[in-house]
Amino acid sequence: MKVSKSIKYLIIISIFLVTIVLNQFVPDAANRPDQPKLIFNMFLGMFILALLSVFIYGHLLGRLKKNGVRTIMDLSVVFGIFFFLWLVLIGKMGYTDHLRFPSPNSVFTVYQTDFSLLVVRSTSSTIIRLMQGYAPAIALAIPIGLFVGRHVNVHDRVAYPIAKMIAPIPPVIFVPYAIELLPSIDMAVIFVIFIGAFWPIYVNTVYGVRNFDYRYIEAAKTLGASEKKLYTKILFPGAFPSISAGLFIGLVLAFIVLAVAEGIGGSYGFPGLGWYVLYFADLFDYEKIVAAILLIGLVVVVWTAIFDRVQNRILRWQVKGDE
Amino acid sequence: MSSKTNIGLRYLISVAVFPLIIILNLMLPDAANRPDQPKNVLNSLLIVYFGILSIYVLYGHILNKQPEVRVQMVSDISLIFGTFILIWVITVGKLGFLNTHSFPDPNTVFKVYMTDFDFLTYESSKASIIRAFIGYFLALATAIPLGILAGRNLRAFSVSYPFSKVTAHIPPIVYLPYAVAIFPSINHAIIFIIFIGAFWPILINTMFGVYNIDPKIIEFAKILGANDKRILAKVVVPAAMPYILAGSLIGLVVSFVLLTAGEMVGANAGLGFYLMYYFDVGYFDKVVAGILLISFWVFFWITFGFDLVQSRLLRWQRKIG
Repeated sequence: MKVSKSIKYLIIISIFLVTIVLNQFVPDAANRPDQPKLIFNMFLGMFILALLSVFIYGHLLGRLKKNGVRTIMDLSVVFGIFFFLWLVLIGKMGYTDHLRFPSPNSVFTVYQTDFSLLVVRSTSSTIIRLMQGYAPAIALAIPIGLFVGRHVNVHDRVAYPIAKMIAPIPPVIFVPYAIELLPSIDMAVIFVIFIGAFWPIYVNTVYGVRNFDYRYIEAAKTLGASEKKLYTKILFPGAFPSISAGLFIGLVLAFIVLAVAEGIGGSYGFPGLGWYVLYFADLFDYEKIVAAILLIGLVVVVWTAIFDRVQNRILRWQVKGDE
Repeated sequence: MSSKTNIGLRYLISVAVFPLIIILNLMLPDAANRPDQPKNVLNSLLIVYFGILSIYVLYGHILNKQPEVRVQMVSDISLIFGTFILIWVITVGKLGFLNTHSFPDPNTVFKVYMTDFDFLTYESSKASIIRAFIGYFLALATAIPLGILAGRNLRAFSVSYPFSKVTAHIPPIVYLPYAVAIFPSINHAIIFIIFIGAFWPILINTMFGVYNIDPKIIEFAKILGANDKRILAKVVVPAAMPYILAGSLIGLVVSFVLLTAGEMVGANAGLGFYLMYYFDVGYFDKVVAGILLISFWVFFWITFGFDLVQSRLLRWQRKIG
C-alpha cells in the first residue's frame, strides 16, 4: 500500500520533470520569439524540490498529516498538467496567436526582466497595503461583532438595520469619493480595503454569537466566569467557525477592492500588483499581465496557507479550552 | 398593552421623520455658500417613500397582515435612513458646513436623478443590472449542479475542494484585462468576471452542503424505496439548500462588487462607468448620486429579490422551528 502510493507520488513529481526536459530539448514553435528557458525551468525545478521534500518528510518519514500530503499531491497533479499543456500546446506547437496567448517561457522571463518593479516593489507594497487595511478590520469587526451579538437590543434596534443597509454595498464604489476626501491615495486605498473586509467579518461574528448555544453562556456564568472571561473564553471560540468563514470572504473582497483601488489610484503613479495588471493592460502587454496574475495567485496561496495555520492554532486553543 | 403602544409610537416616529424633513427642506433657506437648488426632486422622492412606508405600516401593523418582526425591521431601517437624510439636509444643506465641492447638499445630489435621467437613472442602471444578472444566473446554473456532483462523489470532493479553495481566493478582477483580450467585447469580459466571482462561493458552499448531509438520511430514503432521482430532488437538494443559499448570497454580493469594479476600470456604460466618468471630471454631486443609486439597487435586489426567494425556499425550516 505504502509502496504503491510512493510510486503514485513519484509519477506526479515526474510530470514536472518531463515538462522541464521537454522545454529544454524541444525547440520553441516557429511563431514564438526566441525566449530564454531558464526561469520557467528554474520554477519547475523549485516545484519539484518542494514536492520531493513534502514526499520525503511527509510521506516516507510520516511527519505531516496523511490528508495534507494527499491534498498537496492532488493539487500538484492539476498544476503539473496545466503547465505541461500550456508548454506543449502554446509554447512548442504554437497554437493560437502569440500576442494574446504568450508561451510559459516568455511569461516567466518577465519575472527576471521586471524583477525590481513587479516582484519586489509591487508585491511588497500590495501586501503591506492589504495588511494595513485588513488587520484593523479584524481588530474592530470581531470585538464589535461579539458585543453586538451578545446584546440583543443593540443588535435588533440599531446594528442589524444598519448592517442590513450598508453591508452589501460594493465597497469599490467608495474608491473615487475616498480619494477625494482623504489626504493621500494610499490612505484612500487602505480605507476602502478596511470597509470591504470589515462587513463580512462583522456580519459573520454576529451570526456566530447569535447561533451559539445559549446554555454554554449560562453554564459559564453559573461557574462564576467574569464578563471578560465570557468574551475571550466562551463567545470568541464558540463563534470562531463562523468568524473564520467571514475572514475568508473578507479577504477575497479585500483583494478585489485592492486591485481596483490600485488600478484607479495608479494614474497617480505608485506600484502594486493590481496597478501593474491594469497599467500593462493599457499597453496590451499580455506577457506581463499573465505573469502578474500568476504572481497574485502565488501571493494568495501563500497568504491563505499562513492564514489557515493561524486559524488552526486558534481552533486548537478552542479544543483545549473546552476540555 | 403598553408594549403595543410603545411599538406604535416607534412606528409613528419612523414614519413622521419624512414629513419633518420635507417641511424643514421647504421652510428653511439654503445656506449662503450653496447655490440655489430646486428642492422638488428630493421632496417628491421623500413623499413617495413616506406614502409607501405609511401604507406598509398601516397594512402590516394595524391590520396585522404582516409578521411583526418584518414591520419592525422595515421601520427601523427607515428610521436610520431618515435620520441620515435629516442630518445631511440640516448640516450640509441648511447650515452649510463643509465645502461645496466635495460635500454636495442633498437637493443638488437628488436633482441629478432628474437632470441625468437618461444617462444615469435609466441607461446606466439597465446596462449594469442586465450584466449582473446574466453573469450571476450563469454561475448559479453551472455551480449548483457541479457542486452537487462533486459533493456526492468523495474522490471528486477531495480533489476539487482544496483546488477551489485556492482558486476562489484569486480576485477575479485581475482576469479582466486578459478577459478583454480573449472575449469579443468588454461587456462579455465583465459578465465573465462576474460569473467567475459568483461561481466559486456558490460551488464551495454547495459542495460543502451536499458533502455534509448525514448519510443516514440518504440511507433511510433508500430503505423507503426512493430511486436516485427522487433522492436527489427530495433529499439532497433540500438538505443542502441552506448552504446553497448562503453561497448564493455571497455570490450575489461578490457579483455586485465585481460588476461595479469592472465597470469602473474598463466599461463604456453602466453605473460604475458613470461614477468614474464624473470622478475624472470632478463633479462630486454626480459621484454621490451614483454611489447612492448603486447602493439602492444592491439593497433592492438583495432585500426584495434574494430574501423573498430564500424565505420561500426555506419554508420547511420555519415550520420545524
